Amino acid sequence: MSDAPSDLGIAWPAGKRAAAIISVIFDDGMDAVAKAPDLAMRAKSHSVWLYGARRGVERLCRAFEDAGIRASWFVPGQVAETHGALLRAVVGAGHELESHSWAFERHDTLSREDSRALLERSRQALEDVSDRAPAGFRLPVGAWPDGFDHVLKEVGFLWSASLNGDDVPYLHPSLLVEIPVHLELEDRPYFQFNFTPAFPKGQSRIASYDGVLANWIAEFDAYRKFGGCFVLQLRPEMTGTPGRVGLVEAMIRHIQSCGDVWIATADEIAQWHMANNASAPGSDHPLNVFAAYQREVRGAR
Amino acid sequence: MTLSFPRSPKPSWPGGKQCAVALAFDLDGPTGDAMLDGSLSRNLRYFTEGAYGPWRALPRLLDLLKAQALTATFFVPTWVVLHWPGRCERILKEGHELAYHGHRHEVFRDCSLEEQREIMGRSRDIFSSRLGVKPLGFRTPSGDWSDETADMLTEFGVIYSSSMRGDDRPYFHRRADGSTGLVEIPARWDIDDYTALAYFEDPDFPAGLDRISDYRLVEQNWRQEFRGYYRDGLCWTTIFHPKVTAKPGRLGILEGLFREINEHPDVWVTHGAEIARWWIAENEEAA
Repeated sequence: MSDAPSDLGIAWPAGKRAAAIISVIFDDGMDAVAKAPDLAMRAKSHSVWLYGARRGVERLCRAFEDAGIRASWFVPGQVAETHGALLRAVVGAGHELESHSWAFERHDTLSREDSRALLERSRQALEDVSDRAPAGFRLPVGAWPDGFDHVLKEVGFLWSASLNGDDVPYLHPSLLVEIPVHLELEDRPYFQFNFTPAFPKGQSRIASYDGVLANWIAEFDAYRKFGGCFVLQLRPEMTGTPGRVGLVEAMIRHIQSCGDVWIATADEIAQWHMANNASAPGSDHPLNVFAAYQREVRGAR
Repeated sequence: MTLSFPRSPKPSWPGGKQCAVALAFDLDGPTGDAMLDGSLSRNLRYFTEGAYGPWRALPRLLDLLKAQALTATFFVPTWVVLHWPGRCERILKEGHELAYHGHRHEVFRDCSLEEQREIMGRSRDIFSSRLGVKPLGFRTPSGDWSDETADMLTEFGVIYSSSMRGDDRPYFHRRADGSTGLVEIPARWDIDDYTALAYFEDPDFPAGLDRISDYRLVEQNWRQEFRGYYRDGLCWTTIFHPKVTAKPGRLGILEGLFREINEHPDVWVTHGAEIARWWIAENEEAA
């Protein structure tokens, strides 16, 4: 197979110049409740998010099935317990479940032991519904604790999709693969809305659907041109709706119309990266500059 | 008697050019408030959003500037120079201008005059030792400066600032004794990519988490901005940030804007320092 490096110095499979992942974040409202705890006591407002389990998951799955897409789903362990049957159906449709931690805990406030315990619990819950141990992890709220890549490796994860800093996967010191994610490729910044509590804080207008699709397509086309790894991040309660699922369908059609882009699950991309691109990032990579910055801060104390 | 409002004279530009353009980018990287308060050292996720600028976005932007044969000014906090010296050397090698933007993107208004001098001295030494340059320009990072800042900057050989918002052509920050002082090349929020596109969470920007704009409409706005300055023969500069506007899909906005500039005849696309020198020479008598 020919692995000519693309513009970003990454080799993709023969005939492919870039990669695309369709991912879903299904947290059943935990993200919103973590930001506004009283939401859980407000039936009307909470139902905005609970719509995902009720209708959005099914609708996204239908769109994926019609297009022949296998997606990577990030799910908190506790949601796997609550929605076991629903998630078994997701797995049964060919999708992969990955960990979104246990229940939106902040790992930057936990001891390493507590972090490990919750990560293991999440892995077990997801394995119980999918008969496959998750390989990937997406950090929920909070900051990435120092050395967290080692913790993730120790409990059995091979990759993370939590940080930013690049357009292609890179390696942590522990050799955990990082698949960088970008907010403008998520649906939430464009579509989240609730009156009380306010989401977003400034109660901005809901974005133009046509404009969001145009932005995503502009990004995808550029990732294709530059040889990057495009990660679309959808939420069932935001784009699994009758009015917006068309966006998802149009986006997937556009991606599929480009035969030179490798459409794969995040796990497949991480595996590929480990096998074909596994060189340590250089000294001016964001990860290493961060390490230098931390040494500088410690030295100044 | 005809009714008319007295008209300001149109600035004149070298060789009869119609307008002046100083394309400007603030290469902040991860510097800024979270680095100043120390919280950034515990927030790798946010750090990577900033570091994306010098690491991944800048080279792409430099490629585009080269392809469109345009020159630009980069305002660079010197912390970024220390950590990405190769990237900054490339900026110089490709004929662009480097200028002051603090060391860690300090808020000059919150610093005493002595602290401001320390920051400037440190930046001057880093620019000199790492890159062999003595910048002539300054853009105040994060908000306002203090009343003494303009005069203080001249102690460091700075001849111009691009910090203010209240005009559409250069002017002088006159000293108390009436001498000309710094040239100001004002910019406006209207062509700041933060206002249209930047979106970060934890810490949140914009404060109300407004939506990211439709890229197509942003490009339309920015092209209209350029055309207005061109029509009136003014001096146009930008407040762009590689980490915001040189993300893959947004580079197309800049490409469209750059094409618009290149399609107009008689545009003087140059560095801030050249505009400042011209402004000083033009106004020597008045001074």
